[in-house]
Amino acid sequence: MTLQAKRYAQALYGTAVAAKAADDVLADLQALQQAISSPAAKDQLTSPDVTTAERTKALDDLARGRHALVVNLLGVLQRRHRLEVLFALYPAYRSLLMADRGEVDGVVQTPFPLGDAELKSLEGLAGRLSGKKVSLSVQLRSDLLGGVSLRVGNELYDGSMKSTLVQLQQKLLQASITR
Amino acid sequence: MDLKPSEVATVLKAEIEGFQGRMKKSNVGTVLMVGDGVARVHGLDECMMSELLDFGNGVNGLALNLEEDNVGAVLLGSDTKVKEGDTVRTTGRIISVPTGLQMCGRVVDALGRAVDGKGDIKVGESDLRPIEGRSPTVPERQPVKEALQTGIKAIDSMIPIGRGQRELIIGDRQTGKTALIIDTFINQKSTGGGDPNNPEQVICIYVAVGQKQSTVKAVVDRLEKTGAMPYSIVVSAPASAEASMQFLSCYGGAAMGERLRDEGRHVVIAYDDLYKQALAYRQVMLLLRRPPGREAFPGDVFNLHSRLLERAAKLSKAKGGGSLTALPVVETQEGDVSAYIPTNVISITDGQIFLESSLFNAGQRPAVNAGISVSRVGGSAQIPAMKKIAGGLRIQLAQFRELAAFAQFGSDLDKATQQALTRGQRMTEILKQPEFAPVPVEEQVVILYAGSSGLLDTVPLDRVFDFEKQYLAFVRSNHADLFNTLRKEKKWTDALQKQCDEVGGKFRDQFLGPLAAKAEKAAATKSKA
Repeated sequence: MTLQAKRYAQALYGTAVAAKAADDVLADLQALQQAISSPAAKDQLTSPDVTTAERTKALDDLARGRHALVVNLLGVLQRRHRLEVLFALYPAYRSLLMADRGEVDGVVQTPFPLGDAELKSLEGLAGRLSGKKVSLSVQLRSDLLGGVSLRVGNELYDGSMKSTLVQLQQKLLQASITR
Repeated sequence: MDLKPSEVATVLKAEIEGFQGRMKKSNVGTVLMVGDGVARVHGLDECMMSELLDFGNGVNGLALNLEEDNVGAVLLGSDTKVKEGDTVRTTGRIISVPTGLQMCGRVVDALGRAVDGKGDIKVGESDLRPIEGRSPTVPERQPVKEALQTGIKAIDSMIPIGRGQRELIIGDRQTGKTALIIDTFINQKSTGGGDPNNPEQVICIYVAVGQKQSTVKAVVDRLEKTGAMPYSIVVSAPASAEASMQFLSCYGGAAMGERLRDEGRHVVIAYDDLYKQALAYRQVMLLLRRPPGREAFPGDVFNLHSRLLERAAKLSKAKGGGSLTALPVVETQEGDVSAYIPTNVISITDGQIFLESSLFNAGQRPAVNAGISVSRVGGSAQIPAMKKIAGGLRIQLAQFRELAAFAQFGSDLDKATQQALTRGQRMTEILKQPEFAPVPVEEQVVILYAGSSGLLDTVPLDRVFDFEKQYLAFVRSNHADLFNTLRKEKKWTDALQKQCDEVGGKFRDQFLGPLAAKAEKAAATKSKA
């Protein structure tokens, strides 16, 4: 997330909230993010080989059917030669929206798939730890061996078997043999 | 220490049984970019300045820039193991290095890990000490008053270094800066017999920054051959090490010295050299995009050195009376002492020893320029006998240099001038000294007295070196009491002076023998004519 993306996201979010269209804009930004994720689309927006006319056409295609605020944003970015901001705009906008609503993203890393009940209880735990509403996603990582590691925002609660073994290793290395 | 495998197993069993794994909470971030030994990390919103960061895969980093949306960190290991998107954790610690007497005799890297192939160094949690330390406050210090004998006549007599002082060694490449440090280390053997456990033994720390590995190896070999390694620690951050390691190594070495200083021991630490350390710091700071200042060094390059050298101190009695003497080295380019880093370090230290290429090439070794070298601590860092004998030496030599320059223009010189020239030449000759052969202070006093009292005036210039060698050997074997008295009482008395005159006169006659008779005959013929 770049500093520019943060600033543009803040401005866009402020206007969207005033226009009561925060969720619509979020959905449009997500769709935009997907549309520009391919290398070809990236080139179309940032490569110096692309002519202004071609770029304007590409932007027109992207803007078709979007919310008026998003269309305006694309125009501003093109005029200011800041189209690279688009690539980091969605996460920046989303984090602002979530922070405003007291929500936060979380990731559970686990070596085995989790059941619905387990995920729900982990969501509850994450909510209690962070004091916010947490939407968790699951990542499978076999190298953790057991337990789970829970990341909520910038906080990591590591209860995995791997981390416990590392702690034990450090403790054994520091054990005094002369006591 | 004798260890039985069964005992080790018992201890480990107890540790495993009593172990309780705790869920660890840490603040995390994501690597945005990595390269050239630095990384930018997004997140880490609770990261503190200078905090140690864990990049995973055994790579650590040091947070140096806390910016609005990211943290700039310098990596303390290979940047090839870190990639974009990796998770970085804060550790809540700042970098610590192992300290204590068990480090003696070892070669370690900037973080105190053994690199000499002699196995790991056994250290406990309590031996770890943060590399950045608070320098002692005014009440915790006392004035520098004890001598740190370097064993080098030109330094101990004219530019004395005291325990707790900071004396800069400055000069171009190949002028004997490192040799001077090694000589000083070798000479510390006399303080405690070379046993690091002896509280009187001065512990020596050599921090090699940005040096060639071969140079570090040569230093270690020399220290080992001369028996100085058992009480020395070598901190090596060679030119091949990461720039971060190079600039941190000085602080690591200082932390090792501080621990011993706080335990009441005397330590001498040499930073070889601070110019290279500043270059490494400049590299890291430019990569972290800190604004460049003069010569592209960052704005805090003065503080980089001042906070390091402020840690050298002589502690008060209440604090144990230990001392940390710093011998920073700065290499100049073409003798330019007015460059940025040399002027900075000159202003921080309590004096400087200038080594000059021209003197070195003229055979004056150590190539100390006595005219512009100073020690701001002065005579209080000398034993009384040396203070008395060498007190006027600087002025005497300065006068000699002036006269010598003047005498080049004229041929007829009056007797007094001729005598001053003769003596000056002999004193200059006495101050020459071979490498790695430090001279004990009592021997220095005796030979300097011989020179300044005119004993050598009739000795041919090319035989002064032989005279000195044989004279000292003669006194050592026939009049050992003279050296013993000087060593014990450290004072210069009339009785000692009388004894020196007698012994010296006797030896000179014996040394010159037939030569003296010849010279007298020649003088008689000349006067007849």
